[in-house]
Amino acid sequence: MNVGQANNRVESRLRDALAAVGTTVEPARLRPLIPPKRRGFRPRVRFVAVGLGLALAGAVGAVLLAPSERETVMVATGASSLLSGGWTKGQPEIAVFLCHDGSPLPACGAVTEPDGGGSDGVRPAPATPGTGITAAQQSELEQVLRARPEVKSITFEDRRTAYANVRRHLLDSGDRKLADALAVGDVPESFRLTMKPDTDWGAVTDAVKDMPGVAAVIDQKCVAEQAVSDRARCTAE
Amino acid sequence: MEVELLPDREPRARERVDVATIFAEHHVGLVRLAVVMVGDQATAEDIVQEAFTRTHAGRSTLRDPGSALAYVRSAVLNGSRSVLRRRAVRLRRALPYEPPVRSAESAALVDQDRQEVLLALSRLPRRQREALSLRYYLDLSDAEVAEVMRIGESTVRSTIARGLKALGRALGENK
Repeated sequence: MNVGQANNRVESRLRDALAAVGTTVEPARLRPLIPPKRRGFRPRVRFVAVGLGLALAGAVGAVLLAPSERETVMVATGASSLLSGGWTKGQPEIAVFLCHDGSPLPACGAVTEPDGGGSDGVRPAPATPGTGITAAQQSELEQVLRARPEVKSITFEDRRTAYANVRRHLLDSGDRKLADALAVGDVPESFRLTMKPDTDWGAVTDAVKDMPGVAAVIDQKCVAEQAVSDRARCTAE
Repeated sequence: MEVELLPDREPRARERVDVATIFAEHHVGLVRLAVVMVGDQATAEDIVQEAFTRTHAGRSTLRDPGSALAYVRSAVLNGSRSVLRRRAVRLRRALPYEPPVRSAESAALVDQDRQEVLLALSRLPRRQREALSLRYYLDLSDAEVAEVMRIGESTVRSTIARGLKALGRALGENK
């Protein structure tokens, strides 16, 4: 047998074997392709701490990023409703978020350029970022909170715990990309207050919301119970 | 508004092609290509899904419709390579090498003689194996194989020639 004939025979056996493999795939039994949720979304964006805290409350517009990253901003604010499902009965009802260095919130001393965007829920990056709560301010805040008759108990949630909680909640909601984009420090520290029923919770919020070093006060029970459009009133900045 | 949009859209549709559409139209073909490469359908489907997700995340349209299919085939080929590489690492440590196409349903369709051919194919160096599969499964030309594998045409020709020779030796065809 010469080389040409041998090659022909190898070629035809190969063709036949490969064709047989191909026919083992039944089109009807293929799993359909799943398109990625968002095209081109890459989690290179940092969430700003209080932004996510507010996203927890469902208050739109708290996530602040440069305008060029707006696509991602929309993903982030879209997640606010997912995040707001985090509270369940038996957990502390009110969260008092603390300022951290670099905070974008006016409540923490951040100054924003007056013409720096701010439409459709995107905040411009602050010209001068805010400063974190001092140890003295934090201990004064804790004393005020402990003195309130409406408050049953207080726990402190550090950054690590806050990060772990939000991340777990994101993963539970199936939002892996957002969970992966989240970093320790993105979610601010907070005092978590378990409240006595049938007392005036608003009085507690009013007492501390303007204290130095307080970024925002969020009634999480209120968030969990309100429709998305009404959630802004659960938040005091 | 629509009147304004249409003239703009048409030329764009001509020069760019949607990644999702390409994958949808060629889904079965791509899975078959991956099966030829890795031997089982579940892995093949994962490879195509993964290639789809990656391509999709990078861009939603491809500039040149003419090479869009070659582009997604390349993506599937790359995915198959990674799988085979991982498998090789695992197998080197534990089991002896298994030929591809080993699921029960495949075994029924792919008889002893064909299994022998596939086993010999799977033992060839990667480049020969890929070039032979693209040529003799998809009937691609030298130029097309070159584009999918991202190698030169003359390399394709010599690789296929060497591959056939080695396969013939392994199958005892050219004594």
